[in-house]
Amino acid sequence: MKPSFSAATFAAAYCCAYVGAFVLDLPLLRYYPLVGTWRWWYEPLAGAGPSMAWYGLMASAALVALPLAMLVPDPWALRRLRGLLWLFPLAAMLACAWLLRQFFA
Amino acid sequence: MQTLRLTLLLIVHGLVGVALLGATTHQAVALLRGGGRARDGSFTARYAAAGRQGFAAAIVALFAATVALGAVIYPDYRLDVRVPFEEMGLGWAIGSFELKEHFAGIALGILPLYAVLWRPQFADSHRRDRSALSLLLAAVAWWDFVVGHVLNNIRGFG
Repeated sequence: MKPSFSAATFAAAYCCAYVGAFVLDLPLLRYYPLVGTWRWWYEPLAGAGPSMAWYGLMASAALVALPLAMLVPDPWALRRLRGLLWLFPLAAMLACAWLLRQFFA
Repeated sequence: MQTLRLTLLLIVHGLVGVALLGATTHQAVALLRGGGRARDGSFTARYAAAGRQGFAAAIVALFAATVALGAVIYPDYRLDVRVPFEEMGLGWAIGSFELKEHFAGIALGILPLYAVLWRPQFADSHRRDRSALSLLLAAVAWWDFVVGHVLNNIRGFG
């Protein structure tokens, strides 16, 4: 049987998981550009300069969204979330803007 | 050599971004104006009459390419540009770039849905989702392009 992938479920779950990972500071991994090293979220590298979480946030979001997209079929998600799908990325972006508001204060 | 590599990558990133900007803007204008009505022959009417569906595949490819190129350059920004921004107290510039990266990261996750919604079978049933996602992608492309351009003007690589 060919595994199915629901783009609607993936998008909704990805947006929610992205914000969740950002709020909880849970990127799957971090990159330390000064030393060119990757580390899992549970093993931060002290004294290695600044770390970058962006790649890890996308990986965390994809890690949550992929299995859900395999489990919840597209017809169901597209029907249930019709007219609401665009709200997930918009809400996620607004949440990010709110969480970064200190830079603009 | 490293500076040359970075400069070339940044130029390619910018050029792909321009192509993305053109495609998303074209599609967004066509959506906002209703498209398909070029009877008066004006430039704007012909611009808006472009086949909206034809842009979807190109936008997906260009968006993914732009984000991938940005991801390659990003570590150098983090060390060579953001640190001086912090020293200069340019919080708004740092925040704008943070928004740029998060918007791009989120947009990357909705590209599969965007591609699906532009299939002909969803033309009527998911019109609102498709239009809103297309406009959102256009807004992200504009934000990311303008922020990248302004920040590069303040302090570029090298």
